[in-house]
Amino acid sequence: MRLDIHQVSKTFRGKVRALDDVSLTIPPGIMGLLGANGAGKTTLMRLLTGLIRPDSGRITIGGHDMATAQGRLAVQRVLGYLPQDLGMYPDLSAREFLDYVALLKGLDDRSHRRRRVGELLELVHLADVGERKLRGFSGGMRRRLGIAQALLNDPELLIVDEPTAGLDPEERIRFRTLLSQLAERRTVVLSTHIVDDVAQTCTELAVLGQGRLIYRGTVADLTERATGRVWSMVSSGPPPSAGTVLSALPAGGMIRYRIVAATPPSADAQPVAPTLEDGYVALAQQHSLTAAEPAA
Amino acid sequence: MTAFAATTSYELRMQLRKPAIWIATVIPYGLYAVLATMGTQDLERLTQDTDPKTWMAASLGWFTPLLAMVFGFVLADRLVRDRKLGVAQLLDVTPSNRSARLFGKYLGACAATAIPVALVYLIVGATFAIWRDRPTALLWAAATFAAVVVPLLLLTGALAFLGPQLMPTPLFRTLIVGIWFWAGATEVESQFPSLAASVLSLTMDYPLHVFFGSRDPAGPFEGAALNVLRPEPTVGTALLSLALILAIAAAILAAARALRFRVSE
Repeated sequence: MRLDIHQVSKTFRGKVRALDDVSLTIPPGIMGLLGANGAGKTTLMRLLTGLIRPDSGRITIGGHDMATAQGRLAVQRVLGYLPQDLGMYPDLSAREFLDYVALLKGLDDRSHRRRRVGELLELVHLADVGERKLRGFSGGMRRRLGIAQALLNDPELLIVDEPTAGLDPEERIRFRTLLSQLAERRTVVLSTHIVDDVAQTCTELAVLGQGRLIYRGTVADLTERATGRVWSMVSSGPPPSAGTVLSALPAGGMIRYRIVAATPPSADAQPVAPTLEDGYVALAQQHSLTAAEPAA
Repeated sequence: MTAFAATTSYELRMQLRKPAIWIATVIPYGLYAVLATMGTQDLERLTQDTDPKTWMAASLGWFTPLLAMVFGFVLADRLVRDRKLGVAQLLDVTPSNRSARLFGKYLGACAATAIPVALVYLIVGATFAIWRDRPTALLWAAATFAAVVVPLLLLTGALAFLGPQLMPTPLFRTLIVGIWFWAGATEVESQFPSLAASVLSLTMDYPLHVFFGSRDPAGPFEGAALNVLRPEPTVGTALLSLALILAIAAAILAAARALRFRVSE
């Protein structure tokens, strides 16, 4: 399923321009959408699900025009969505909650629905707490249940917004693997501000900055952008003012800094091989976005 | 199963699990039981009444003013909580019909709210049936419940779906007390324009008076404001009262629906 976003803009009340003339094509497979908090990722996700409408521009998904009610309905029939601020009914058990969402997604056959709910509870490792009320669930458990509800209808299009927030490292790795497997025969849009999630699951990505599309290409190309701009240096003093400090590790009474800067931040700084995170920061610097919160 | 049936079923389940609806039923009926032991003039009249129809009507007449307030209180959070909990966006991206979901939620919540009241009222009817050896009291209990409590519940339920979308829920809960006074509990003789004893009364005076022989007033009062809403009590005006209450409930619910989905449509 192919997603075409053409010159889309969205301004919210209070004149906050969340998206500004964004054009983007998302092919089948998995696509990472990276950006700092407030970059416009969630707005774009909500536009893709049909929850909100753009002020201008056009979105077509699998040939369905999202400006029409029929188009939105057609897309919602094959959509799985995990929102960033996921909510649940505290008075329902995990199994009941999934059953309710499954009914709303059109899984009318009772035995099929029960089987599917059971399979997904197993998949997200919640089968043993399936009868427990959701009010007692931790953030990570809720997130896993959110993933399960998104998969209920075996969606052709899966949109996940900050899916790994609140997951422990083991769960995060498991979920990333699951996403990659799902993307083999689906379109998956993974929106996150966690660079490592994109680095481990995607080959293609788009980067949003202050509501504008500032990059669309491969993970490898974005990483390459930082070549010659990533430095390692050891210092006992304060961090250098030039560039963006990505890490500061204690090293025998000194501190080893990893810095992204156009020029060496000090005479003894050594160039090092870039990662995707370095590429992202270098891109943000080029677009004067470093004041924004850097991706994790 | 349709979105309507699914939502009705799950909303009913969730609302029945809420302790508030049981507490909110026990308190007014508990107060009633306390008042009953104090031996008021109304109670003396009630204890001497042997007609199951008028007895059920009279006993219901005691509860209905409080019921409007209780229903408004317990139903006030049902629609707005979807947004507060963050569930609304999850449900809104499903291919289910939105009107069916909203109507299912409304009926499920109202039905669950009615169940504790219905149980208590059934006990009241059964008590009379055994005490006076008049089993028809149970039928009259069902009839008065259907003609009086159900329309009242549907109206206050619709108000509770609309009001908290326009104002904070605690403010709506306060306002429902004001509505309760204005539309049922004030003195009819007062110059203050009140809906008491009118076809729009929240105590359902016309159906109670005409169909079940309640002694509670219904009809025009000399010198009272808004007498235009107090025609002579007849079968026609009692039916008109029921139709008006249900029509207003439908209109309010339609407004609640429009408001709930205004952002995303």
